[in-house]
Amino acid sequence: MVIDAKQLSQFIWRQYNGLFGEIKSGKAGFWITDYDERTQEGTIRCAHVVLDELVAALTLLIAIDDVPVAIDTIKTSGIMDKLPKQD
Amino acid sequence: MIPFTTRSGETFTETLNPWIARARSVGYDGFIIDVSNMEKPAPISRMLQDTADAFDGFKIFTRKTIILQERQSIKERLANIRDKSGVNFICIRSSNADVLNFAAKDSRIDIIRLETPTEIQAFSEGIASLASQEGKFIELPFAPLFKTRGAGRSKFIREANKVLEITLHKHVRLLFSSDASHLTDVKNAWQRVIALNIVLGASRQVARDIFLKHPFQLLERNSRENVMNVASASSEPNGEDE
Repeated sequence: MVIDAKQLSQFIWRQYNGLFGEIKSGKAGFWITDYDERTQEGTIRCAHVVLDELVAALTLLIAIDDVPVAIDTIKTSGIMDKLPKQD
Repeated sequence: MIPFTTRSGETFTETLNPWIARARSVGYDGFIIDVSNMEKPAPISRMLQDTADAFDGFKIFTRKTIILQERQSIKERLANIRDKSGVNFICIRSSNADVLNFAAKDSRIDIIRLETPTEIQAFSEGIASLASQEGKFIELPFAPLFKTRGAGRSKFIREANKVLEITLHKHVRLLFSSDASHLTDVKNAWQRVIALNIVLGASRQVARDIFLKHPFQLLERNSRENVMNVASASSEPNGEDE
C-alpha cells in the first residue's frame, strides 16, 4: 500500500481527533515535515506538550482504509536538527 | 500473548518466523503464544524445544486459556492440567466470582484473565487480595484500546480503570496482553507504556511495570516452579531401588 504524506497526515489527525477530541487536536499543531514513501519513514513535528498524546494516537492507529498498519516510533527529539544524528 | 494457529501448507517455523521478525524489530526477545484453540497443545511445546535453535535465541513460551463458568467443574478441568497440556502458563477466564476466587488460590493457575465486561464485573477486591497473596497475575487485553471505537472504547477504558485501581490498591501484578492477531498488532513496549499512561491515566512507573517488569516476573515464577517440580520429583524415593 502506497500512501503519501498528506493522506497519512489526515489519517493521523482523524485518529488523534477521535481519541482526544476537537479542542485538543486544535491545539496539537502537528505536521509531517518529511516522509519517504519508499522506506515509509518520516518525521512528525508537534508541540512538546502533546508528544505523548501523539505517540499514543500513533500506537492505537491500526488500519488505514481497512489495510492493517503499524506506526512505530523510532526516535523523539526536542531539536529537529539533532534527530538524524541520534543513535 | 499471541493466539496461535498454523495455516495449511505452512511449517511450524514458517508460521512463526514473520512473528519473530516483527517482534525483534520492535525490541522483544520473546513472546508467549496461546495454544488454547489447538486440540493437543503438548506437541507444540515439544516442537518449540526441538526447533529452538532455528529461532536464534528468541524465546517462545506457550499458554493455555481455560474458560470456566461453574465452580463444580473446576477440579475436573484442572486435574493434571500441567502434564496434560504441556504448556508453560495456565490462564483462566470466568464471569463467576466463585471460580475467580478458587483460581486466585489454586497454585496451578498463573494468570486470571478478564476479557469481557461480565468477567471484569465479577472481579473484586477480595479476589485481587487473594491473587496478590498467591503471587498470581491479572491480565487485561490491550486490543480493545485500538480495535474498538467511540462508546465501546470508552466503556473498556472505564472498566480497565476499575481493574487498574483495584490491582494497585491490593498490590497484585497486572499484565496487558497484546492479543495480536496480525503482525501489525505487535507494538513496541515504549509506545504501549505511553498509550497506557495517556489513555488509562496510569502513572508512567505503573505502566512501565505492567509492560516491562511484570512479564519478566511471570517468566521468573515459571522457571522457579519448574525447578521446584524437578527438585520434588528427584527427592521422591525410587521404588525399584528398594
